Amino acid sequence: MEKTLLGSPFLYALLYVSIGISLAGIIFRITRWFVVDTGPEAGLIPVKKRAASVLKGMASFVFSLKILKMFKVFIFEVLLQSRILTKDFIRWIMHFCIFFGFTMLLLMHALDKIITKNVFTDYFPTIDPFQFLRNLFGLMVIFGVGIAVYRRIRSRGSFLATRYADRYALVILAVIIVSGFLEEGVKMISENAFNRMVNTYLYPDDPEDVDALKAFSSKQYGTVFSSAKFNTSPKLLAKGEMLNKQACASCHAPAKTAFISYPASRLIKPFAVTLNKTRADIWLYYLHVLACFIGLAYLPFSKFFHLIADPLTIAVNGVSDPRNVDPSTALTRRAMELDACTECGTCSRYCSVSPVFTMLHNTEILPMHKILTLKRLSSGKKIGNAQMMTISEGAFICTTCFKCTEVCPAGINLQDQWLSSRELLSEMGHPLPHVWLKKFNASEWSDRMRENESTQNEADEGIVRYNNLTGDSNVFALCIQCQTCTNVCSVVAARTDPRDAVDITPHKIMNLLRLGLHDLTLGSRMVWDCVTCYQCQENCPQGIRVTDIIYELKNKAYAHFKKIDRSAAVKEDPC
Amino acid sequence: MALPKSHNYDPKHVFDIMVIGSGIAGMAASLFSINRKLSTVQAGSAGGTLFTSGVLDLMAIHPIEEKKVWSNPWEAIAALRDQAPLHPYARISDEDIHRAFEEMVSFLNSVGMNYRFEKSRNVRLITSMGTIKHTYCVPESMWHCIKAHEEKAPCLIIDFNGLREFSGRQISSTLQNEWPLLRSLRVSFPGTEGLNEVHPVHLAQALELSPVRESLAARILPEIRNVRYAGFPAVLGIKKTPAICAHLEKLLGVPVFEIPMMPASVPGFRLKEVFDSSLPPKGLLRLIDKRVESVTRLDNGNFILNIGGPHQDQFIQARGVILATGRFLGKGLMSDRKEIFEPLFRIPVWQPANRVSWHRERFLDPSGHPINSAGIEVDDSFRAVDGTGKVIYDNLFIAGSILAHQDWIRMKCGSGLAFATAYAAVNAFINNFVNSSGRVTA
Amino acid sequence: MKYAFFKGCKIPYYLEQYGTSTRAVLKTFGVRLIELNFNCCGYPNRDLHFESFILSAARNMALAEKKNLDILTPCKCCYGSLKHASHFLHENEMLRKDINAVLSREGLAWKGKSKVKHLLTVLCDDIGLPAIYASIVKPLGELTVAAHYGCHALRPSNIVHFDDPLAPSIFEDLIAATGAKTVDWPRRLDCCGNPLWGKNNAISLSLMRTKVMDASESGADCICTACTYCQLQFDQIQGSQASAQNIPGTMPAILYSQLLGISMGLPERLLGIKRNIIPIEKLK
Repeated sequence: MEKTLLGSPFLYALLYVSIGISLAGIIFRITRWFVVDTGPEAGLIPVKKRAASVLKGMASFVFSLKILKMFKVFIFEVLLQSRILTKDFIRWIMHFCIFFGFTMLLLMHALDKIITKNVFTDYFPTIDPFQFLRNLFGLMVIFGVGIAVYRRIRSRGSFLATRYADRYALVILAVIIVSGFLEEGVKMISENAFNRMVNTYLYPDDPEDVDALKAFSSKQYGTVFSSAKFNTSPKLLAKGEMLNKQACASCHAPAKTAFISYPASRLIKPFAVTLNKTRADIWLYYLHVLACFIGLAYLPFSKFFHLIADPLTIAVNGVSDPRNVDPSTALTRRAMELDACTECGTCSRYCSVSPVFTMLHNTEILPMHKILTLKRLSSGKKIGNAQMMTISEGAFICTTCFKCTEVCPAGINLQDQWLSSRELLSEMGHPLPHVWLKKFNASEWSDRMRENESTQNEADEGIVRYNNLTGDSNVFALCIQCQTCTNVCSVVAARTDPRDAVDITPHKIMNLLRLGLHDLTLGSRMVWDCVTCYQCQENCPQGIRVTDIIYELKNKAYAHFKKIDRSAAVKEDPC
Repeated sequence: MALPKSHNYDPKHVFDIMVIGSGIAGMAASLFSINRKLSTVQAGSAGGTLFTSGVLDLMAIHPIEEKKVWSNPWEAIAALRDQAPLHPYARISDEDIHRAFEEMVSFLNSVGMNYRFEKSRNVRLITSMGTIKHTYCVPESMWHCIKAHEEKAPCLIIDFNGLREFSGRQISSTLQNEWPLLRSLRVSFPGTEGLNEVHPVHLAQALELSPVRESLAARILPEIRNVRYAGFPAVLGIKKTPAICAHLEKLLGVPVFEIPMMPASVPGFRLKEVFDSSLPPKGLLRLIDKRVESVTRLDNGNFILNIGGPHQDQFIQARGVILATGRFLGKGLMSDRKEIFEPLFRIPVWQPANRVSWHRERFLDPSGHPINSAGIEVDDSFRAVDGTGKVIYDNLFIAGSILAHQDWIRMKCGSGLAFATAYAAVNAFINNFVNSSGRVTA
Repeated sequence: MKYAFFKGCKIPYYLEQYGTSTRAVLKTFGVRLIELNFNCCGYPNRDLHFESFILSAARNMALAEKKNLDILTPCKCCYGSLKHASHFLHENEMLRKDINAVLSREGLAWKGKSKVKHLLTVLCDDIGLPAIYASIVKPLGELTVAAHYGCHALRPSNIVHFDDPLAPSIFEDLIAATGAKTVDWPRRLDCCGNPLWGKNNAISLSLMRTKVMDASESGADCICTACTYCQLQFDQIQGSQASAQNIPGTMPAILYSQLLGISMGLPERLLGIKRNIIPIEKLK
């Protein structure tokens, strides 16, 4: 048997290098799971302890009944990707075609010397069913890639973001598969390949034999010969067929069963002579193989790392209760989950607060963007104050409704990610508005608003478009300061902290509004401690909408204060 | 069985009486009406009753220019009938006024709000300013105050840090001459240490819990020493006042009393709570979330009242209406630059000839101001009449402070007026529209 | 009868038993609950941004309207939020136009045809007390219950139209149907404090504790709630505080759907009473 090109030591060396890089990358990324900080517990649990907890967890799981559940999870959720199927049929088709097609190509075609040849002893790449299957699996992958591209083009501007990693993934797949089809097609038309085969396997009795075989070959396999025409008489063809049966057929099925490559070879037939001269069969082969090596080496750094991270994530979360998070393994699990996210956008599509995003335009509200942010935060990237406030706003608008966790195809425990990152944000000085608004008292906020006047102009616009309770004196002019609102307010009754006590009460808010001292009400604790129980509004003898006014003050305060840098110093009002 | 709710009643039902107004007169009218088994519906805002001080006046001062105080309210009323025959009391007999009072007080007692009065005597009640208020019927929790004052007994008034509009020192210093053994003590109410302001209703609610009472008593006990009474600002609970007084008496070893405060005060709040929670279960349909927007009248005399909001209509049909919408504060009467008017039925309002005469020059003129006596005039059946004395609608009755020819604040006759006129209105409806077998005729 | 089932954001993760017990109870009355792909009712966001709140609520109502369904929610905050939004949309033409312009991008529209109901109003008005009385197999005569009305379904009454805001009786009427006794407790209409949890814990807990003390002094064995947030406050938050400070004898809380379910003889796996944190002695 002729030494195939793969026998080339250069390519073997490249293969081992690729494998080496890939393994090193995988190990590197897995190790990072034990090191990266992903939550408020960070810094409190040393790396060694994290590793030990994970091993302990794995051990206790393996020796328990949970392992049976694991089989079910593995088959349905990992292999059959039921989580995608239940939410989006088209996406499941896309993903399954790529996954199944490529996996079969890997096992049946790339590893044919190790796997296929040992199972089917009379295997050759060019016989059926393998030639047919190879084309089928390749087609599946291209079909899947085609759907993926189409989906991304159609959903531009909505929840799905297409970034460098997504493009790379689709491109590398396409290159591998398309180069494979082209290589197969080129081989079919290749006179060089024919000559090589004939020199090795044909023992011609007479010189006409080669011609006969050529004639038959171009019919059976599509080979294109550069030399002048030759006789294709039936007698010659019959002879060629006979020779073919003797020497070729046991390893070569008719080319037409390669139902993609054969048509491809017909397309390139006009250029066959040039391609042959330039040994396209060799450089396309290199292209194909090198693309595979690049894909392999780069795997741990590309989107394809999800092949490792996602099955692990699905498995781990599939057998544990999302409401009962084990703190000793939480940090590690979260880091793994961040790698498992493929940014498919399913979470954002089902997000309960996406209408809020529609109005506020803050992408940090949406789960997919939140995960991207968490990836950035945990990789230690420095994020500026203004961006942190945007992130914090998004994080606390989330209502932790659990939907995104239920639909995530990668099985990520998103709920835990949100709960822990909110704790972390609070520790970093970016808690939810009701808390950071307490940083200053009413007059301190008022001072800051004055200092930041230039940013305040449009703040009220959206609010006064529909209601202007706080700007319309007819609303609170009816107030006779009877103090009923304050007396029925259970929040005022519950105050025992003297600092709260110097703050203003509901009837005083009305009074400040009557006096036109709007700005002093915005930062008052009363406005933000109001539980909106509507007792004041229900009991007001003058029918003043006290609670609705307080709501409007909240909206105005938020619109103004979120534009102010809380860490900046300010000149105190000498008055 | 669930009672009809304000959005859930049978729209075809024709009520006997619709009461418009939820102040003291409106509440009294509702009570008297349901006591007499008339199907009754009431609309009005949340708030009228809570502006009362919680004490019930009958009649104390006449003539107001002289500020003459009467110790026997009935003698004052007799004088009023003689000298001010247009006053609403003049249209009601003493027996009826008394019965109205009795019926109301017995209702209040039946729901745990014990009120007390002596038939022919006004009492002298000290206030949070240290002044004396002449009134008729007070909550049981204030009765000891009257006695202690009469006896000039050694008495301790407890004052709370941060409670505005109540000063034990002011009371004792104002009354120094007539009640020298009155002294005061200021403490922090349990749980409010360090707060610079506390509110009466919150204190009252807190006192409904026994640990709070025990803690408070512990702070006072060392000072009790030789006193025979202990007085508090009127914050002794909302719904459990008798139990709270009893408990504090046990803890302190002396009788306790409350001192009325400025409106809006807790005793007024209690009255409101009692009306709100006790009348609906007796059968009153209370439309707390509705105002009467407009009224039309059918050929058979029934009123159709639109109680819907801006984007929907909702109607009540009633055979009779009692209008008890009060004066300017509750918008029972309104004014523009030309005149005073009644906004709902557009009943003519008796008033001074022109706007210039509405007020006298001195703000605190002892005679008060003519505008205070403006209002709606009625016949002896308390039906609204126009300027010529002709009845406008035979089934439209008027009760309470919206009536003309009375100045309840200065005369100290507010509650009595409310009860008596409501009583008279309900009875007039029955006399005219309910036949002998109890059936209501149109 | 069928309704679109609006569970709100808290039931799936925090209070699953409210969802399952509500379904179970209503199923025995022949009520079908249909789950649509609802979003948040908007209540948490009203503090920050008015339009987001209105759009959130309007979208839910539009989704139900598209399927010709009225909405049933077991959460009082959701109920109040949807009613408020409905009111504002009725009143304000410009708001209605703007919101419908956004909704139309998804092929939705708010026309105000879909009614919003709470579990208690459906039980009392649509199913009716006689039917409820007829379904009781195990009257809870030994239990004394303090009915906690919560705030957002009860007030402001001109928007929510739930019951008389000053003297409501719907909850006591429904509890009485189970055979349990009710108490009149002074603080029954006060807020549970949950809106401030996580924002001002001192006041939130103070409000909760006052209610608990009041229920206890009034002689109740437990508090009954009909709102996700109220139940979280009285059960999970009270429970975690008690265990943190080792305080025994706190006041347990139970959801009305669970209480009714027990008296109807429904199985524990649907009612989830064991998932409540603080156990009720008399129901063991």
